[in-house]
Amino acid sequence: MKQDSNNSLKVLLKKEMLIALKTPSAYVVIIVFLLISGYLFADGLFLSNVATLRPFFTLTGIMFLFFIPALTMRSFSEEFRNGTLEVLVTHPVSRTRLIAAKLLSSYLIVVASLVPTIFYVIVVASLGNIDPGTAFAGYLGLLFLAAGYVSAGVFASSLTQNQVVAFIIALFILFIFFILDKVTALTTGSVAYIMQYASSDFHLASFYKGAIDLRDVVYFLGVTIFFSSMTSKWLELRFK
Amino acid sequence: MGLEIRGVSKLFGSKTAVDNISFQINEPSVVGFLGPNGAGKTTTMRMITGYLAATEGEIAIDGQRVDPAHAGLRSKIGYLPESNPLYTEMEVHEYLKFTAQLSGLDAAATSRRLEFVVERCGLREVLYDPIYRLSKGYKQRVGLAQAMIHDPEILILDEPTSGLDPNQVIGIRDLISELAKEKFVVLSTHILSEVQALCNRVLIINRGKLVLDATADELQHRSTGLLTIVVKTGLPAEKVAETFQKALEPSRCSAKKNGGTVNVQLSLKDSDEVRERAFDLCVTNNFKLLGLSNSGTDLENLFRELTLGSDETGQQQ
Repeated sequence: MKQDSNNSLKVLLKKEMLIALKTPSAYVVIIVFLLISGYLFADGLFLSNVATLRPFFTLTGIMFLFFIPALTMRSFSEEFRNGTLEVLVTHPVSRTRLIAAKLLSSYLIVVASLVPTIFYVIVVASLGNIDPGTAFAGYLGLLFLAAGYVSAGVFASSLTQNQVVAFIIALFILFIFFILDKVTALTTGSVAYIMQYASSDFHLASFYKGAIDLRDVVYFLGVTIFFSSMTSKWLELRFK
Repeated sequence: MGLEIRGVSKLFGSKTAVDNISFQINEPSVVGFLGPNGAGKTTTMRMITGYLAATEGEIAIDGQRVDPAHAGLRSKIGYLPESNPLYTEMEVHEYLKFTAQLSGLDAAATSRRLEFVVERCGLREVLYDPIYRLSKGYKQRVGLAQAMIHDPEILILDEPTSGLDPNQVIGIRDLISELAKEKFVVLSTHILSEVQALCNRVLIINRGKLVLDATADELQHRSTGLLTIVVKTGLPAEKVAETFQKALEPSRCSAKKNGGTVNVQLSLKDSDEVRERAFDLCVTNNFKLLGLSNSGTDLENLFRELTLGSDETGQQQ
């Protein structure tokens, strides 16, 4: 009668996706993302007149600063506001699986919204020669970036029951990561180096150039794990 | 076997929400949890379910300690929270299947239990409706179905009949009574008549402390009876109440004028014995007696005594 409790991640993920598909907010966010990215891509392509995906990757990285907090803002906030977290955590579900389901569901939506952008690759490829390896590395960079950002967004959402506040906190956190390597001139020495290393854009740059460096992979995985652990710790404190 | 709460306290900052509560439930029954708002009922229930950790003391189910950090024991508990939170975007069957699978039921058990709870909670006609479209009564039934779908040993129901119409209330009470033949049911309610109708045992909690732990029989002995007298008289209600108060000395007396009649309610230790004296009093005072009934236990009075006694400015229920 009872099945393996490992199944709870699958059950939770299914519920997250079902609710995401039934609420208009995810569709609105994806459509707005695709419209803006499409406009910026076309505008940049015809302005620069160069067959390259670099501007698309750079702009998408910046758009993720807004797009991902908009997707993750409801993940825990909505559960707090409706009280449904009380139902979830009184079932035999571990906190880790609960957080993993939240991360995976938002991440899958980000991945799904990136799929139509392959059309841009086809357009650029038809206009000139692009290096498939660079395109692959660029997408891989975006996927790693999305993992870190989703994790930070879910953490922000676990701090409050107000979705707008969750969005602003996530935007603030991500903006700090984004801006760090752009303000290194304000300081010198090891502090400047640390700031640069902590910046998300710094690690993305090598992906966009077509290089997959293990240090960059470790950085993004580290950010993902760091914020997931923070979420777990925060939820633990909340129920004490 | 069963549920054991040993010296459990819960502090939120410096505020004590639950103060050294202990009780045991060793056999299938309905235990009613009563208390004014903010007395600590919901906090205690949340600690039993593992939603909140106790600051002190221990909660054990079948001898195993409940620990919020470990999910294992939770499949033994079915919980209907006070606010009945639901994923309103989901359809009823989707939600119930989700909670069944979350409790670890496989596909076959899920469909078998779904069939059972749908039948028992009367959800057949709304099974494919999104929850946001349901009335409050149906939502409450979905919450109750969620609590029992995985066939738990212990049911913790925080105000299970809230928002239901009288017919639904009777249906749900019947269901709870039947479930209690083989399950441990702990329910909280504000409806005192519900406690009398349903519970084998009553726990009254006030300001975080357990002030009464009594079986239904003990409660009957302990509490006063309620005698209702309807008389026809030209006198004002206060005058009639005064007459009964002086002669019968009830612990509580209230009178209400209704047209030409006055409805008097008396709380008495032995309301059966007093009936004859009440009749004589009506004759002596020339009150035309239209009705005299003994409504049994005045739990309301006992509740007031226990929860207002030490609180002069306390809120009444």
